[in-house]
Amino acid sequence: MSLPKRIIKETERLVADPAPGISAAPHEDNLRYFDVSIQGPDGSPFANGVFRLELFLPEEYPMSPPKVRFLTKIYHPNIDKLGRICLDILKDKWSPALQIRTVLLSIQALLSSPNPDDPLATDVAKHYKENEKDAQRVSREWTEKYASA
Amino acid sequence: MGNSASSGRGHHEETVDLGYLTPQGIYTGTRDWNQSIVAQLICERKLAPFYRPLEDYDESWDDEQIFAHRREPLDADALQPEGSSSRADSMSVASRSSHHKRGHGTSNSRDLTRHLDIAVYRGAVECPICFLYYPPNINHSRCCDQAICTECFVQIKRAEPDPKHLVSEPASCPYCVQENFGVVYTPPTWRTGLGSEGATPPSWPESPKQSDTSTPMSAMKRPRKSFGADSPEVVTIDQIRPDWEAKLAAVRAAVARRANRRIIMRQVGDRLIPVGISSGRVHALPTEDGQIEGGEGGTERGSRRSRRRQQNQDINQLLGSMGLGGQDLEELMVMEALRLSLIEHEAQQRREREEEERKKAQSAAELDTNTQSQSQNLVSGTSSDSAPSSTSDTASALSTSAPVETSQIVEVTDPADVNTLTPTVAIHPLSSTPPTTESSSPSSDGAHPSVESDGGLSLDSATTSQPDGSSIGLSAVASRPETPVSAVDAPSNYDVLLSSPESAVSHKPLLRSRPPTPLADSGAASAN
Repeated sequence: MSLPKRIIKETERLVADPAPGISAAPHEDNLRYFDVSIQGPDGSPFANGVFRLELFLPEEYPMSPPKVRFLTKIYHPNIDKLGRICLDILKDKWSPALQIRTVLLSIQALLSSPNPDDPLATDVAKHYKENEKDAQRVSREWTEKYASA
Repeated sequence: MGNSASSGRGHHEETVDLGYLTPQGIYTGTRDWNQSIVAQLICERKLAPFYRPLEDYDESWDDEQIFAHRREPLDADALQPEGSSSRADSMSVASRSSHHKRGHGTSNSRDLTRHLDIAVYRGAVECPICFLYYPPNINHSRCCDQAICTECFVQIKRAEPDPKHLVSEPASCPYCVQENFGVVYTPPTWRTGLGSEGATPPSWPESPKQSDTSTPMSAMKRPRKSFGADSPEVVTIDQIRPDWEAKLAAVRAAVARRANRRIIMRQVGDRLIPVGISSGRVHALPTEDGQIEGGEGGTERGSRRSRRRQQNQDINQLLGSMGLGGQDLEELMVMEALRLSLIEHEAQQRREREEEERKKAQSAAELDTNTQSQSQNLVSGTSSDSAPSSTSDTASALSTSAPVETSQIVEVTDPADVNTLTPTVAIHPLSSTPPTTESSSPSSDGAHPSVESDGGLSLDSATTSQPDGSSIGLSAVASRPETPVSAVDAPSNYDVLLSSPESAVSHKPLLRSRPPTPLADSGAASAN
């Protein structure tokens, strides 16, 4: 099964014109599997961190969303221990008009604005709700510990 | 019909305005839309035909370059010696009939038609979903006027109804997320192929060279306003999948059926072993609940039971996901037999009860001994008394005594019965009770206190001391639903974990307390 033109074009555009603070490159042996890195947004507890993710385009893509997961440990209410991300556009709010680039930008934005009301990591969310300052401190610690470039 | 068809070559390619009625192979999944409706809409010029897309496009390209970037024909076409030339042939028929009846050699005509074939791509538009280029007469979203090719349009659909989401939201626009996605198509000013007879004849440009500047498409105007989902010019995704309602109804019915279905458990030692699945078609009637449970702690048990019903639904979903759902018919036949035997038994019990009441009325003094013989009657009754005494009796039993509930009866410890699924053995709490139990009623009195410590295990003693065996059996189940449910439920949780990143199971170790989220429930449950 040859690679759909859309995936080829998306890849070309990602490489030619990367989004700021985001890089994504396909594996040589599997062009549907991408190594991604996202810089922690400035002003967030994740600033100065570089987070590695994996992204996979399923057979049904773009009619189904890509599968994305953090590989770098991160203390974030919407990202769990296994790196799974709670983001609506990765699930029921997926639209085929979205792209790898827009997905990664959304994830980057999620780092800037955690949403403890829709948590995936319940303990982190609780921490964020009860004592945001302290939770951010832990996030910074984890960033330094696990995501320093 | 159309020109290409009337060329008499038995050609399989039916075209509309130089595009096709069927997809050109961008998506490989099943074609789950109604293809004849789609073809009809294309012929009516309400939906853009399936054009062979260009993989790239640049305004400055000449015909050759455009031609070179056109997507390869489908495999079916490739089987022909030369797909493109045969296609050009059919086109030449169309153009000859309209314009070039004389004075042009075949090769000239071919060149022209090929040129026209390419000319439709002038001003090509990239579909934002498949990233391929199509002739500018492309569909546009009714709401936000964004381009979408027919190939992508037919892929968009309601989310498949699943047992967990028994609603089917209309698909929203991929661009602006407005509900009820639909498209509007403005056909080119010319027509060719199917549905072009009697229409304005194609106004092909006289000279191929000129057409570079004035393409047939130049007169096209795009819709600029937005359309309501019910506008006549709009084609919605529901229109091309008219079966969505039936599908939804089917899933709903299946869920309703499964919600009623129970897994019949049999108690062996201190374990419950599933021995069958009750037919979901039996509708649970509330009457028996009060009757049975009215005596002791009825409300509490009732709530437990409804919870169990929910859990059973999960089990049934699990079974369905394991492929057992597909055996519905066969399973139903078996279960129906089972159910009928249950009903019969119920009726039998009823008769016994009535008889007992009558006897009670006759002489209260003989009650003690009567209870004893009553039990005997029950045991022998199934084989002898169950003859069709009165059909109305059976019918009333059917309507009032809620066979679903009896299917829950946990049988007395009797390993011999365990592996049997057959209706006869199945759920007769009394017929399978060894007669010896009856005769040892003095000892059953002694066993009675053990009910509490065993959590309802000592069914056999209860059966003899209580004429209404089924109620005791039922309470025994109700008092220990956790055993089977959690065992079967565990994989279902696991399944949720796999499919949904929201599952809290993974960070269960981190869970120190229980935040007020829906996730906390499953997390805490599995943590316990």
